[in-house]
Amino acid sequence: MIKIIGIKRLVVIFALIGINVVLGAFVYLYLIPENMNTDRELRTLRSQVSSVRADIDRMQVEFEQLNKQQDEFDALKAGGFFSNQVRSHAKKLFSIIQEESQVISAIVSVKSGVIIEYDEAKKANHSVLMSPVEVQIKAFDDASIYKYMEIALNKFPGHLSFDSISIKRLRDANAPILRAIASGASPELVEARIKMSWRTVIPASQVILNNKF
Amino acid sequence: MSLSFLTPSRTVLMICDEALFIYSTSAKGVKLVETVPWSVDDFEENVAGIISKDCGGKPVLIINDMVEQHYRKEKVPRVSIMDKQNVVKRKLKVAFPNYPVRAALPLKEKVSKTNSAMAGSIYIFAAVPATEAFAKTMGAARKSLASIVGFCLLPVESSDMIKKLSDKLSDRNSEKAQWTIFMGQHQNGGLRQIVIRNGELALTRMTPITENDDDAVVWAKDVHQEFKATMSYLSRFGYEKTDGLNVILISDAGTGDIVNELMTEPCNFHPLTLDDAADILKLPIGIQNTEYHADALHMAWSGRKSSFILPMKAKQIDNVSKPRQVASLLSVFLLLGIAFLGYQSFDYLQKNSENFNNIKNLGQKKSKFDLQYDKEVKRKEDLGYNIQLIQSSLALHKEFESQQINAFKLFYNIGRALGRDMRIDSIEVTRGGKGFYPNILRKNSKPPLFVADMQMSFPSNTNAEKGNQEVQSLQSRLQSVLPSHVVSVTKLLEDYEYSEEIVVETGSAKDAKPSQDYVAEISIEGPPK
Repeated sequence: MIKIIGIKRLVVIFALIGINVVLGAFVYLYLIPENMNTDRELRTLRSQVSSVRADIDRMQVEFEQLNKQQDEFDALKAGGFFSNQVRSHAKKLFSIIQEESQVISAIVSVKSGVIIEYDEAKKANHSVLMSPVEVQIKAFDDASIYKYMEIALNKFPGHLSFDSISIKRLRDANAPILRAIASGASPELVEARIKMSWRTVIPASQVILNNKF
Repeated sequence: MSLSFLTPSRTVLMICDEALFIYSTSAKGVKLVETVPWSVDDFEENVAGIISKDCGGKPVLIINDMVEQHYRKEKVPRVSIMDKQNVVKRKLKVAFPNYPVRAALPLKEKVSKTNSAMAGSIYIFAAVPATEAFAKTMGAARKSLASIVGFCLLPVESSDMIKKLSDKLSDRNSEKAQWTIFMGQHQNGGLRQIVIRNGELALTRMTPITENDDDAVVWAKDVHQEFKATMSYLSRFGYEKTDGLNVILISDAGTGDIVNELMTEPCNFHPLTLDDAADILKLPIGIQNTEYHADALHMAWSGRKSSFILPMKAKQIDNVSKPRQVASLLSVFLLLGIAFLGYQSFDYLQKNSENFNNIKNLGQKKSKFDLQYDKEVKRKEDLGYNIQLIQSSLALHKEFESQQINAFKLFYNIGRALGRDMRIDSIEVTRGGKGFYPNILRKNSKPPLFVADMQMSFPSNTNAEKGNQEVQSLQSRLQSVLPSHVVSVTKLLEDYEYSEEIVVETGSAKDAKPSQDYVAEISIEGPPK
């Protein structure tokens, strides 16, 4: 066979095979993996650049909004959003609310506060203190109850939210009641039971171990 | 013919009875490199040396121009395409059992089916004996290491050249002649006559004649004599005077005229010099020593062909040509492989270079952005605000507010829906849905923010039907003023079972005391959380 093909031709064929092998190894063992690595590196870098750019843009936007946010923050601060839920202060406030709303009676129970974990609060190294509040109101009409609720929402330090509200008419306006009203008395016609959550934000350093206030 | 840069450059070995004629053909023309007699010592080595050195190792085409060439017209019955090749091969073997070099050429002529015979195709079966000349030529080709393009018969491969020449010489207005006789003396002294009918080989003869240089008149008489002999054969092949006959003779300019004067047979006689014929065929043949030798024309024509009319088959040829063809093909594939891998290398090198540049640019960009980011952070820190506390506090307040039950809006809208005449006895608002089951039945997967249950009483003397209508009407009004809420009547005046899971009253309405008030209940589910 070598005689027919010729040594020269064989040498050329083997040389061509050799070049193919060398080129193949260069392409598939070096260039392609290298290309994959550089592609990956490029993608990572692109994502990092894009992330930093987005952060800068966000910060610039935030900077523009900062004045507005600062005002809102100041308002929250002034509204007792960062208060420690001082019970004596709450007692005074409930008395004022009762007077202003003109309800006949209001029995308020503020239970001990518990720490509730919120991610947003954690970010700022703060915690949320939540105290359940229960109010039993007796009034001449339901309008006084609504007023009580509204004043409580506006005047109470921190954030107050309703968990349940139950309003019930105690009796109908019959002749004796109408006579009592005419004589200047305020009969108890409506009763309300309101459960609320009182939330404020306190520094994490003030949280005691048993999470109760 | 073909474009010059696509014209194959070859070494053509013309096997004659006296010697081997070695030609080199290229786009420029034909050159007789050497004539090697068969009797010369070390024939194979000498010829191999000429092929590899003097001819540059170009691919070799072997053309047989010996006297002993056998042709036979055979009919092959019509068979399926799959079987055709085997049938032809078998018939060829039967026709020429003692000749190892053979091949079959299908003709245009067909045989129609008759009562006594089957339909079939007509073939020319050709064969060449395995002579010493053939063996020596193959040995030389093997030793030269040049690749072998093919082994062909000169009359067959030149038949299309003769047809083209005949077509060019024919008068366009007159009817085309069916027969053409091409006569040309070769350098070995023999006069090769090739007869074609309708472009296909019909007959060929090789006869020795005197050289033109000795005496032109004698040469002309010899040629005419041989022509007459050929004409006597032609009638056996079905030639008739009405068919039309072109006669082409390659000769010196004056000698052709002498032959023309001798011609008595009715025909179109065209005496041409070698250059004239080459010009008509637009075939560059280069400078030749004589004008009357036709072999250079045959070599130029066959040497430039990309495919042959009748390539001869033989083991001796295959043994040499096949491995070399495989080696050549392998070389081509390997070269293609190199080209592909080279392209890939270039492509990936370019991509990598681009990537490196991009990485460098992006790295610089990132450094700039990092710097800018640090500046922005410092700028905020310099303001003295605890930005995180501000943002977290606002986010927390927003979250608390989103969970707030807007009781005032609810009570206001209930008041609007009730109007002046209706009143409720109690309302109970509780955060969240009424348990798991009702929540999964809701289209909206989110549970409601709150549920408000209203209870209202009607005096015992109320028309229950009218009362129910009032309750339904109130439900509609509530739904319209609270569009994002779900308002439903959970108990009508004369219903004793709640539409929901809690039964609050049992027994029959008929059993109830007449003084007892009717009670209706409506439930309002707040917007989803």
